[in-house]
Amino acid sequence: MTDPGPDIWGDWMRLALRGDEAAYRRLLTALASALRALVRRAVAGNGVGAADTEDTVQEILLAVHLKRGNWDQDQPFRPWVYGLARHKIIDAHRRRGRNVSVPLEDVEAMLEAAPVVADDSMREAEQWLSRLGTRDQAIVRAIAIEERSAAEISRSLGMQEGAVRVALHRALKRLATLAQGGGR
Amino acid sequence: MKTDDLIKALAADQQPAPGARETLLRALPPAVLATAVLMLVVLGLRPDAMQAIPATAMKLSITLSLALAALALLPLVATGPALGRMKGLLWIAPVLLAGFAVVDIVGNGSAGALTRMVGMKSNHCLILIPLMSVVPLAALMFALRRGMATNPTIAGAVAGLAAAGIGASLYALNCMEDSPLFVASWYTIAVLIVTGTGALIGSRLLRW
Repeated sequence: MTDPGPDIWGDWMRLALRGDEAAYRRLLTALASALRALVRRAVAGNGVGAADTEDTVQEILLAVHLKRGNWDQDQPFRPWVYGLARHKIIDAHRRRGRNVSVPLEDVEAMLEAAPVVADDSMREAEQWLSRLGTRDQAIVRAIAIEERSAAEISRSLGMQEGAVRVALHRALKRLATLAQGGGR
Repeated sequence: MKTDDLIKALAADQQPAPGARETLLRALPPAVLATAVLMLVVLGLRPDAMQAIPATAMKLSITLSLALAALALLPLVATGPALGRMKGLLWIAPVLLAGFAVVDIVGNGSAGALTRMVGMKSNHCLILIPLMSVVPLAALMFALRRGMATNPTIAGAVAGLAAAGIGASLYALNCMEDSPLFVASWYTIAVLIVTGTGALIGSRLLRW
């Protein structure tokens, strides 16, 4: 393996774990692009459409978010996220009845990949969302699409701000379960 | 929902998401303590605890080495695929057990070996060890669910082994059967029951 270079993603994640939301957004955006390339390569020639790819990318991002506490901050971030992505890619395509192979060591390629623009025709994410409770759906949409803060949402829904934050966290966990094929 | 929107939602969620190791350290001690207290209150130590120190120590050396070996493996199966070279640790308990069994047969003769193996209260052992493993197993599963086990069945089985080792260690403080042959038969069956249960639960609960 060549020198992995500075662990920029790891630095962003360390900042994110200390509450730096901007660093976390930067990390997730960079990850999304790298993951898109990784997933496309893994499923190349498998008859998998761009929408499927984006579904898998979203699944991986959810998993990174919910499992980030398992990353050992003394270790480089890329091998960890690559291992997670590999597991999710294989799992996602097995569920859809296709076999894909992801090489064990592809961290370098994941990094070097040029940014890949999303194809925004996500069907699954909408489906997962539609299966949340009305209030949770409203919270996720308000934060994700309308970019409103938890404080604003708490006023408009008549909830405590803390409760909005907890509801958001639960909703994301539920999304991950739905994405994983659970809760049916 | 677009990926960029999802990212906004994820970034807005600042609730902590503790990993498996952290959860393990927080959840296991109270689970063990609660079971130990319950055991001491309901069952108590064996009445001849003082005289039986050597026999109890023999049993504890086996059960604790099982518990500790499995617990040492847990962080590995909780966050990754492999048991790795550490899985050799799991041999300590069976080797100890075999050693004590040989000493018993050599020292006490093979004449009464079957009687010693069958013992008097095997049903206690088979019921109480799994019972005392329940709360530790629940704590371990709770922690593992926050992990990222790539082999849920194996991870569940290792959790089962650890919980069984803990349950058996607590039971050893009450158990009046002092032959290693009894341990080799009934403790082993009880441990296998809990391990199998752990594997079964793991295969369903630990997928992510």
